[in-house]
Amino acid sequence: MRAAICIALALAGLLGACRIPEDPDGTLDRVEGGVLRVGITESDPWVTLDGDVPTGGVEVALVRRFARELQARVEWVDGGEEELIAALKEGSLDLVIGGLTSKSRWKKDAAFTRPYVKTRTVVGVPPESSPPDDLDGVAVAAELGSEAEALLDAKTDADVRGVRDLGDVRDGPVAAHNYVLDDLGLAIGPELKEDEHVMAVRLGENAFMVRLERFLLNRADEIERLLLAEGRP
Amino acid sequence: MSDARSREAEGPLRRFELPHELVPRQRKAVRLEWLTLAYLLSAVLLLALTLGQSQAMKAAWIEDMLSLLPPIAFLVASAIRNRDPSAKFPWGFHRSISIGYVFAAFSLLVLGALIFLDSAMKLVTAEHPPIGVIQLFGEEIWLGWVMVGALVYSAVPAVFLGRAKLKLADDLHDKVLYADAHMNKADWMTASAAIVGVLGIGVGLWWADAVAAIFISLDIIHDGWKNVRAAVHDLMDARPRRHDAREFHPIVERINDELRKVDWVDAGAARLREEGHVFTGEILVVPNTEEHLLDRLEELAAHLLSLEWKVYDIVVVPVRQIDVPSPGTDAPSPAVPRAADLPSSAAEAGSDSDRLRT
Repeated sequence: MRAAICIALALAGLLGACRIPEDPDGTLDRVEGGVLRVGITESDPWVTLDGDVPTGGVEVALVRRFARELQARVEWVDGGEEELIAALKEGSLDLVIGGLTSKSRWKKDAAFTRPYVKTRTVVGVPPESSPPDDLDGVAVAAELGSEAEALLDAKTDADVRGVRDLGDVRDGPVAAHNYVLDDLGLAIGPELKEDEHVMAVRLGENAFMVRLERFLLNRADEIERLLLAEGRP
Repeated sequence: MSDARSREAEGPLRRFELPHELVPRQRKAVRLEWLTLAYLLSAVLLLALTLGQSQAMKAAWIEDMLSLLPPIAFLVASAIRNRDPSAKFPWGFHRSISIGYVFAAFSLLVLGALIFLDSAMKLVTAEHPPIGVIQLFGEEIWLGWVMVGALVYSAVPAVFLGRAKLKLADDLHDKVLYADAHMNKADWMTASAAIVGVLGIGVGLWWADAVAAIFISLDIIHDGWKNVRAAVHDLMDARPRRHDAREFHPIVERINDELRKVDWVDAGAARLREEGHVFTGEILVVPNTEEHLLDRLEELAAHLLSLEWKVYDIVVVPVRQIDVPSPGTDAPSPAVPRAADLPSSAAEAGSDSDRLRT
């Protein structure tokens, strides 16, 4: 009924009278002053957990602030990505976070926000030395079993040194995410990959999604600071 | 070569396909189609930029790409249809128009079917399209508004282009142009449906655009089917129809009437086919005298050619008996019995081949 009235008003040119876009399922109305149900899956530095309780992470911090803006209480539900997306699709959850990127395979089952932050996988180089022209034969450390390790191998001719913990590397270049380089005392060198980070909301709940996107898009600096603080090798 | 050309100009075959007064119209139509092409390409680009994750605009986008086909078909056909007949193509290139028409009509039909299936799937799977915000000039705007803007851009000119083409198609009796005018109509109608759909999503009605699109797809399918039928009929050398396929072209009856007025002809029948813009075919006559027959035939051919510009390449043939059906004549029953009248022979043929196989 409200939709019909809105259409009539829209046709009459009185767009200010109703909210556009609106949620078919009323998520935003329910969450405001109510409960925000958030699916979380461990993904350092975006979501970190102790058991099933979130202890930190960039996205956890952002969701807490978003919930404060909506005067909502957050109910955390932890699980695997597929499990959470299925619950989101059916409407048991309002939001899913955990290091999702715009390349995610869940595009058909969830709506993604516009990317709110870009991260890069780069080769970090000691700041005092001039960055190398090419990495041919240069020894570069990377965490064993990480994406950076394989990217380094596939995209450069560097001499890849797998290590258990990046914190143990004393000197020389390291392939890692850009947000850990400050902890290693390294400067950003050649780029290996770029990721665009997103959050997942229920398909079609456009009022809720637009509200979240507006919240995220105005906080580029804040998110950048959070990421540098949370990102540790 | 120049000799051959001048002879052609004098003979029953005219040098120019279109009468002189229609040549400027044809030029205008070509200009209009180039304009359509340029404008459609820009619309395709703009819609691609605003598509986002939403399915709502996909139909409008695919449709804009499909609607590139009729103008291309028209321009290609226009470029080659006036070429002189050659040893390889003894009938010339008029039929390129008919082939272009098949393409144009078929793309219309495919378009309608695509939109119908897409929308029906959306309804069945209860797909809720997400439309978020976009940052433009430092402002966050709901992407829906941007989509509506892009759709209006893709709809409004199509209305005027379609109308202008419909008028030219009437003057030129051009079927490709006619099908393309309908494509433009389909264009602005689907764009309007998509606008209704995006606004529907805006007010929380996820099913609005699928329902609107289904209604419009039915109209496009109807147009497409009608045109495909007419195009196939043309290639089957069916009795010529007017360019909008609504009724038969009156030319065949008119020729038969003319034949009845000729005193040295006992019976006559015209058999014409469409080759693009023009009609070609045979005029069969049973003469009651053989005196000056060649002169009489030539004179009759010239007279019939002068009836209408669309009658382009005809031969007048003297025969003893007329055995082709022609509207407006007392068509004799066909000399050869039709296969349908002889079911037993067909069955025998079948058993014959069975025997051969065993």
